[in-house]
Amino acid sequence: MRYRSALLTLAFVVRSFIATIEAGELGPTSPAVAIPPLPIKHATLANGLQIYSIEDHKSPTVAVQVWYHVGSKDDPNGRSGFAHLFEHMMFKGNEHLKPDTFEELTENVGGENNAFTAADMTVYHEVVPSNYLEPILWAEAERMSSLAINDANFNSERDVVKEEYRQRILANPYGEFSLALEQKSFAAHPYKRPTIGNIAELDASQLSEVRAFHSTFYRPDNATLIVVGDFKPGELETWTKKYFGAIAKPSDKIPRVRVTEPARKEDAVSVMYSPKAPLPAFAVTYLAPSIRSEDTPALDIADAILSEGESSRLYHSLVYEQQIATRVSFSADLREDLGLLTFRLVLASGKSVPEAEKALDTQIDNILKNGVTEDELKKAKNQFLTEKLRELQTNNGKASALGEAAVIYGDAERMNTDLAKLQAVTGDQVKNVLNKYIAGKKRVVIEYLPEAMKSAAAPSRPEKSSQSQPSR
Amino acid sequence: MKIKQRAQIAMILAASVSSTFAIGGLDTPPPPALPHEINFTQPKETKLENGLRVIVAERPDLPLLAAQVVVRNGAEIDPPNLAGNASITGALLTKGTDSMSAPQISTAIESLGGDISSGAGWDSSTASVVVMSDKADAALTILADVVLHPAFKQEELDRLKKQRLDGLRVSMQQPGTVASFVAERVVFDSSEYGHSIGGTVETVQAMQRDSIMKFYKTYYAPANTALIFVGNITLEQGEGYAQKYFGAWKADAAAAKAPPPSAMEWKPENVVVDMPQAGQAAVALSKPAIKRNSPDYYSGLVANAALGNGFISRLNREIRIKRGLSYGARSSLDARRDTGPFTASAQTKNESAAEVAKLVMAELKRLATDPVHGEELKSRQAVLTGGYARGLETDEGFAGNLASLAAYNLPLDRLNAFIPKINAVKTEDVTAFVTKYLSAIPSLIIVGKAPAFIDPLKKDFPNVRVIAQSDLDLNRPDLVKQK
Repeated sequence: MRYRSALLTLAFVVRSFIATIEAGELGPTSPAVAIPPLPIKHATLANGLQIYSIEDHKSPTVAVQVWYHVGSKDDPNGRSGFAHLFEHMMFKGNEHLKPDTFEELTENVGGENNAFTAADMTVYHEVVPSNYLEPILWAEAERMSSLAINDANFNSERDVVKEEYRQRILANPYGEFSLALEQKSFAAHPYKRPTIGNIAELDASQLSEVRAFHSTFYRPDNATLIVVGDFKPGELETWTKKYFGAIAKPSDKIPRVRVTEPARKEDAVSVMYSPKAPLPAFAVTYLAPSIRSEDTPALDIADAILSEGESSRLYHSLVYEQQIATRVSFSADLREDLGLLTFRLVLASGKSVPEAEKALDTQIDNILKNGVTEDELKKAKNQFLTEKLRELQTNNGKASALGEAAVIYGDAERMNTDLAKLQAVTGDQVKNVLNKYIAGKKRVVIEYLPEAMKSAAAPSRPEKSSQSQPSR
Repeated sequence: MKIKQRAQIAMILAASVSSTFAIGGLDTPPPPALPHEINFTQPKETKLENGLRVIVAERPDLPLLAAQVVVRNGAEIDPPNLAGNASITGALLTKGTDSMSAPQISTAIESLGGDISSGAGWDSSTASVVVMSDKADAALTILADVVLHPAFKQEELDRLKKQRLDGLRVSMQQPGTVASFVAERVVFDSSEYGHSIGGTVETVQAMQRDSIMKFYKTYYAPANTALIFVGNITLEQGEGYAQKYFGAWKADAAAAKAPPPSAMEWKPENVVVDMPQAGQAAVALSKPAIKRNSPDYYSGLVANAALGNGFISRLNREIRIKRGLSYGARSSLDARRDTGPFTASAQTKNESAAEVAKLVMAELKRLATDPVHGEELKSRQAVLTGGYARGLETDEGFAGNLASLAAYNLPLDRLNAFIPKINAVKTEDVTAFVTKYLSAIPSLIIVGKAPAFIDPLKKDFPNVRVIAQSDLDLNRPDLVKQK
């Protein structure tokens, strides 16, 4: 991520859905809210580039995104953070693409551009006045075709990325806690390496590795172009062929991560101390399925019931009623290869980690044993429906949903069908998937404690490594 | 131009990643087509008998509705030793009414798929919901209840105070947040903007129900409030909803008393807070600038955009793009009812804090000596108009813009006037703004590991006051704890 918006160190946690909801499904007070399916056009160029588009002339802008199927899980060995560092290099140009070109074609004419790196993909996105569609397509094709980076701009941009690391991680009292979640939760899969990397491995990165990374992963058969908004289909076809069609498809295969994360054999606890954290925090994680799993919709509903809004179970019980936590979340953080179910708490002042863990376990036990109520189910479905409508307000929102469906789920039409799937989830399914991934499974606990607790720690927590599972 | 030269060097030195033929046979971007026109829905308005202003923007594309209540006073009214009073008042609205508990409110609105939020900023307090438009009745029942009948229960005040205090404990470990707290004090001293909106540890601890009730009873009055609807709704429907849910609101029509104008004399001060654990230093330069109703507002926005709004604004070019010293450098012009602040800021590694402070100061001076003209002027106008148009894409964004106009009693036709007014700003207007408002020396605030930068800093800023983190007291104008 270059600027301002948040780096996605996690895969997309909140996913998007669309469908036509029939009257009655949302309960007696809900007349039909119909979201007509959006007409998605698809084309494949001879070099393998996938192109998806939706025409919409409501505003005179067009959103353009290029999704590369490469992310921090593809960081070279000993180069944690490289895919993200590389993302920054994609703005450094080549002999046709002067360094400020992306700004000249976006912010200088009233548009915007940015990019982000996640575990499974890297996405470059722009919103431009629609008369700038042709030049922005040219520029995206140029940087897909080639980059020309020298030592000076490589070093300078690497310094920027190190400042990004300092800002997100070191200047944030809980920054190192977020990194530890992935580091401690995965044993073998490269998902254990945080997207942002670390200073030492960023420093070790070489200019030659930038070249190799581009030729290995930045190729038309590893990319998906998304165009949404005010354009003419005939022009889009002409321009994509003219600009992207000129890029050759390399003959070698794209390397893919083939590491299988082993099942956990035992519970594990990691304890970290921080001089900056004023309040203790901890996380509990379980391994979860791939985002393409059949269980995804039920896990999404569980996510909303447990932690979306102040009426969610965890907020209501732990923050509001017991006042044991000042922040709490549950996320079904599902990724391409596998995911995590993560419970995360920052304690309220004066509360202890063991009592907070016990309170959390009571909540986990309860949902595993008793499932969810019909009211909770309806609420979660209404929340997803509203979120979908809000996302459809902008071309960029639609483009993101389309890119996610096409690249992450491997099926663009899921942008139009997933909401119906979500609305069909039953209470039993929610209970069953949670039991499938939590009941009897091994947990990893990460505790992140104020340094002042260090001396008192050892004697007070003798039972930690054999922390019992919630019973069921 | 330096940047162009670097591109030449890139061509010579860099080994290409792959073959570098020109895409589409073009060595430069193809030219843009003719621009398409942009128009925003013109809002309509009416007034209820109780004085409540009702504003409706009809945007029927999607079955959504954003509704916002905006009260024309906020944190600027906070009593001298009770920073956070308006903010806590606002936050407590959704924490219980005469007939609903906090969990009942959140459950009710979230069951509709909606969100409700309330709080206060400078010059206004707001409560808002976004829901599917077919659920408007149920959602507006809740919105009206929290605004008209908040209970301000002691139990909820106590709970909120604890949450605030925990939040502040975390904030006080973040160099960027501490720098902004310190800047408010340094720039505005004890005047109405001279504290943080959310309060300090000490003022939150001291907060009592009576000061909250007093703020609510004085300022939450229909004649001091606007109700805004944006989305799948007509003016007639909006008027009907307003009458049905807010028509019975008969609060004493306390005219919003304007706070005493800040007639203080500007005295810049350089303050360093030494935070031994800081993972980065936060650098800010700040000074009072303009009021929201100033005729120089639009020139000011363009001047600010040239300096620090956008990726290739001057600050980001010098600090990030050329030197790799920060993830981002920026500036802001926060125009308020009374004179609000101008601030330029960046975070950098502790060792380069002095260099960044010097660069920000140099760019501020260059704004007067190297006028904003030609392509730079045009591009910064586009940054502002494009960002403005994107802000109006969503119903909630549109409602937020109307709320701001309502808070400052500005005519609603300003909504469509923004783009032409920005585009009418000329080089001489920008320069005049810089001369009039930004030529006085600003205060410098740095929060970070002082030993890493204090010596080089003193070369350029000899008069620096260093305050140890453990001695910092945000409640006092001199910022130092009394021992």
